[in-house]
Amino acid sequence: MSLGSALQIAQNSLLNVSRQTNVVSRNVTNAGNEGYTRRAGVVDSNALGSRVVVMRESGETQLVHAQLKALSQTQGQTIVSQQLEQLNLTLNGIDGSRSPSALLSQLHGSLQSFAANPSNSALADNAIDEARQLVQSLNASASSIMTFRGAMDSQLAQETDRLNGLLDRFHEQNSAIVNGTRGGRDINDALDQRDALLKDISAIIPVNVITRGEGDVVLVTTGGATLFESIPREVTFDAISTYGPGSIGNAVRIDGVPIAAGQGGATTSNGTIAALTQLRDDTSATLETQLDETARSLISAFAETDATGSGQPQLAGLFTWSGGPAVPPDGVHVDGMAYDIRLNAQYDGGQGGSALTLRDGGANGAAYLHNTSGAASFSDHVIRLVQSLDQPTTFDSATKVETNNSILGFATQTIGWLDGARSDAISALESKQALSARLDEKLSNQTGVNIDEEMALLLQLERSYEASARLIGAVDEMFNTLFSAVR
Amino acid sequence: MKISQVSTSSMFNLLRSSTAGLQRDLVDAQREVTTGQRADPGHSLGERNALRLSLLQDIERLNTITETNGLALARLEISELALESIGEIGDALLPALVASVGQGSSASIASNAGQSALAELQSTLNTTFNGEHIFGGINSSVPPLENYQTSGAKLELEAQFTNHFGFPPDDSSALTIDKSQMAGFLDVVLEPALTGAGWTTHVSAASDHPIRARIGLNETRDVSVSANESGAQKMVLAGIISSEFLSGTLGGGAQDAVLEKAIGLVTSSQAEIADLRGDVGLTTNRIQRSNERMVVQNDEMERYAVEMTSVDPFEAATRMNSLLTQIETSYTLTGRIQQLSLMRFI
Repeated sequence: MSLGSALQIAQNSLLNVSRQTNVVSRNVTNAGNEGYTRRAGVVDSNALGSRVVVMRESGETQLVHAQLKALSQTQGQTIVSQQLEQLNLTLNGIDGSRSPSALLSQLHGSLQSFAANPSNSALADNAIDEARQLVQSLNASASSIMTFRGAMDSQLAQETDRLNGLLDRFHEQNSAIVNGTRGGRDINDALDQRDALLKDISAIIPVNVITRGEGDVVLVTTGGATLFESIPREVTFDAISTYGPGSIGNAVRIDGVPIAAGQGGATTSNGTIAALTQLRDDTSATLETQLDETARSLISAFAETDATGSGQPQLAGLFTWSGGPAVPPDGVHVDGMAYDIRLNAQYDGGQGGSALTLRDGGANGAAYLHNTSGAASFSDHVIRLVQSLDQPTTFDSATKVETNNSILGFATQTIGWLDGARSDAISALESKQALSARLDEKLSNQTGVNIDEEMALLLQLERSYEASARLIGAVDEMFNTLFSAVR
Repeated sequence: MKISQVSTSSMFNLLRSSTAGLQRDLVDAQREVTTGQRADPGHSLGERNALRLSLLQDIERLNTITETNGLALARLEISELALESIGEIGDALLPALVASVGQGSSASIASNAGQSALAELQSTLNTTFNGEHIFGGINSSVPPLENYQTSGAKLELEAQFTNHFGFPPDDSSALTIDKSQMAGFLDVVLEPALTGAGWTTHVSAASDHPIRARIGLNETRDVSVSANESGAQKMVLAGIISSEFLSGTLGGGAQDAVLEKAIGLVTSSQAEIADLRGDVGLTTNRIQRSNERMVVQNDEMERYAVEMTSVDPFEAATRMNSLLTQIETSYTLTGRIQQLSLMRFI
């Protein structure tokens, strides 16, 4: 061992300290960056004393997987919860105030008033107005559901594009990692970026990560489709720009395999694609069926009956549809009925009819005229109509609520259905978010930066620097002593 | 190697996210304290909210029926008053008729009494309420009785008389009609011509079909009295014959026949009017009981519906206080943790 080599080692130590300081300063800079994984400057021995190797902390694999899964669940649930809330406000208003059920109740009230005072045509006009509002509300709700489905569809298209973009970037980073590993370069930044991309991808679709040699990974969806293996697989989606009654939307496909929609308010949808598909196909379809059934049962309940006893069929009365004057068959859902239902022109003063048809009947010709003498206080027909709102009737089981119910009861049940889904969704969102936050925290504790620790490390490095500098000074003094002795 | 178990960002973020959660709860708690009701019933009740909404709807429906029952009750009350005055008309007519029996041609008092009774009957049976002729049955837009002097009933009476006796009522030959002939004409010809089927053809424009109302969710009831009730028919007929045949155109015997017929009609009518008043009373009673039942039912349903979403105000206030304390603590902690840094000590 010579003084020269001592000097060289001290120099090397200074270099190491500065490189370690570099690592510390990077860690401190990125303390607030959630996607950053802490680096450690590890000293490794070699011929000249030591050298610094930069190591990347890594979280437990199990934890990373659990966190990605929780992220998918939370994303899916967030979308479902938000959109259910939105649908509830659009269709039912606050606490059902704008729902078909509330309007039906008002129609019932005005019909009852008219039944008690059938000679007052102003009351008939009022009842017709209520009926018109009900029709308009059903039409508007039906078309807002179609708009909603269209909006979900275009969001699906956006998510698909985003997923394809993310997969391309994932491919870049993955190649950088594989090549970097082969070439022995620093791949830590690429690893950080690939992890961040993986989180973004998990938000859209749940993935399992399978690690292969040289840092390469394969992404498989929880449904079993391969999303990425060496190269990204193609994710395709055919968007439909406008939705009509009963339209069927396309599924997002990975390599031709469709992504299944989730179910329920506390949804089984993981990731945004499954959640959006669920909202577009399952939730909307049910809501649409419910509205259609409300409309259909209204047409049936207000249908005109034969007054002559000669066995004529029931024909559409106050409410009619494009298939009118025939009455739609009982208990069977007809696509687009809520969109199609109209106020019968025979009852509408603005369209050449008369509101008093409500009292007299006869919108379908003389055989259906109940008040044959044109008496002013004939109330039997109106009373029958009011009571029909209370009569139990059969609804299609696709409405997912009690199928044997009165129209009024059915309409409140549909609000209950949405409220139930909404309530489940909000509670599920809370627990899923809590899990996700907890896992994030845990992972951040494992891989994140603690500034205090870095500061302590910095103190250590300062001391080490001081010592090395003192060493150089000492060697220098020794050389001086030596040289002066020689002189 | 890494030693610490907590990263700086998770230390800061934890409090931030929990504070946000607390603030969200605070908004709901605040609303619940002020209203005493759940902030979002749909969320807290889930599918059971359908039950609550349907209760509220039922309350609304029963309220409407109770309100419309008020109209039916008012109509019945007016009908009852009118029936009472028909009875009183009979009471006034009867003594004049009785006093004139056997008095020969001096029946003009009875004749006058008959005319005024007829006029009063017409105006009573044409009573309107809320724009409806309450005795018109469902045909409430038309007054049930026309003015007698210009009515089809008078023409019919003259035609029947002429047809039966061969000369009109004001003919001098009318004096030759004896008591039994006149009684025969009144019983066999005139009564069937102006009552029963003849009544609706010649006298009354009312409908037999009474106004019907829905007085409970599944209960309908007739809530008017028609002028076509036989009690009214008889009273009007008594008025007609006493005003037509007692003005001195008939002989004493025939006049007695008219008086006896009229007395018979009035007494039998009064009994029937009393029955009608009884029916009206029964219906009134029925509606009132239905109202009472609906009010009780409403109270129960309302209590239950409100209870489903009600919040114990003390519980809500306590919750809000503890939330406030938690948020304050969280602020304090955030401040202290931000200061907790090695930087300050080196």
